[in-house]
Amino acid sequence: MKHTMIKSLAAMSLLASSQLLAASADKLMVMDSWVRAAPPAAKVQAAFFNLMNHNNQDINLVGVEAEGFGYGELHLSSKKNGMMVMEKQQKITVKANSTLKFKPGSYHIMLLQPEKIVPAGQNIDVVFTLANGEKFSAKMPVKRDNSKMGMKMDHSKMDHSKMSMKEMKHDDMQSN
Amino acid sequence: MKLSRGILVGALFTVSLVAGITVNKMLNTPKLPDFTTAYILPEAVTLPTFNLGDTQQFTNSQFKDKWSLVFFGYGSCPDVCPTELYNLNNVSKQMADAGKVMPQVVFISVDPKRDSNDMLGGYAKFYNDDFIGITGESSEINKLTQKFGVIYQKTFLATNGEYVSVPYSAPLPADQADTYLINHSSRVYLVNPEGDYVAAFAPPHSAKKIAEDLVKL
Repeated sequence: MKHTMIKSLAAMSLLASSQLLAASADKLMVMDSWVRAAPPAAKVQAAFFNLMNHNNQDINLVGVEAEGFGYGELHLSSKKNGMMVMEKQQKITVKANSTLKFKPGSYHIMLLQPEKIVPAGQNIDVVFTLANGEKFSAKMPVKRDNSKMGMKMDHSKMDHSKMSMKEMKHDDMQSN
Repeated sequence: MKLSRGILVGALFTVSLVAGITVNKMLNTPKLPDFTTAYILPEAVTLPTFNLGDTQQFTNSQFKDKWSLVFFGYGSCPDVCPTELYNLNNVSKQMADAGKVMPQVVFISVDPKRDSNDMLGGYAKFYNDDFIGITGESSEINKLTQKFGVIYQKTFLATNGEYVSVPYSAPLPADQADTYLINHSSRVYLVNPEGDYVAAFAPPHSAKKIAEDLVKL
């Protein structure tokens, strides 16, 4: 009996470790990435993308850095108490087999202390660190806007504004 | 008797003068069209006397004889402010397509400690040659933020991992003195050619929706 238990425990830990191994950067995919072009005098640039996690386990991003920038931060913009609030995130979790959208007004990467602001048309190498210490990188093009995404956003905003006038005005008042 | 008649005439004259001025003001104040998206204030808000810019060149008179869209933010803002300025440039394109005059766009930085007027001028022009970027003394900025109902706070990550928000003028720990973020209201305010604040667009902002209202001006 004891023997069987040990066996099954061993099997479980084996399974667990294989799953741990499976949650790897190899099964992550960065899609539709872009870094927003900024005025030469700007002090920061922001990166947006879709991060697809094809692992059967959640993954946690804990760090980011980019060539040509002093440091990078994981950020979340949101609306709180009528203000747009931006907060650095210690980690960002991407659920198993799902996609997290990093987009304007939501999750994004903030790149700080630029050696020089990278102009539209060039790429920035962005390196992410996972909680398990693994790193993966993505080359992100600098654009004035992600036109495809911009169009989508416009539609979503149009839909959003279909709510009743009463709600709109209420929202208006809140943001005061 | 003579005296009381004199008082009566005087009173009537004063009443008609006040009425005349009021009617004149009403006639001269551009009437707002029925907006679909913008929130119209029940009463126009007269802006206080203010001056912004290194040489105090940006004053109430810069709001006269033209419509203006005013947005408050800061130069180190990576997400919200660039999105807004980009969006307002799209509004400008849609206004041009409709053959209408785009209101003057004024981006006011609430972060004069880190943003210079030189930097802000170039910053705004990056999005549109006609956009104005300006800042000034916090006391001058606050005159405007109070009237527009803008809230802003400096926020920094404390050693316990929590965000702490403090008034802009509050001191910060030395290691955070230059890396703070700013939480701020993100409405776009409409100022009429009299220089009065009359309406606002609440987020989320759609260039199309804003333009659809502005073409009615």
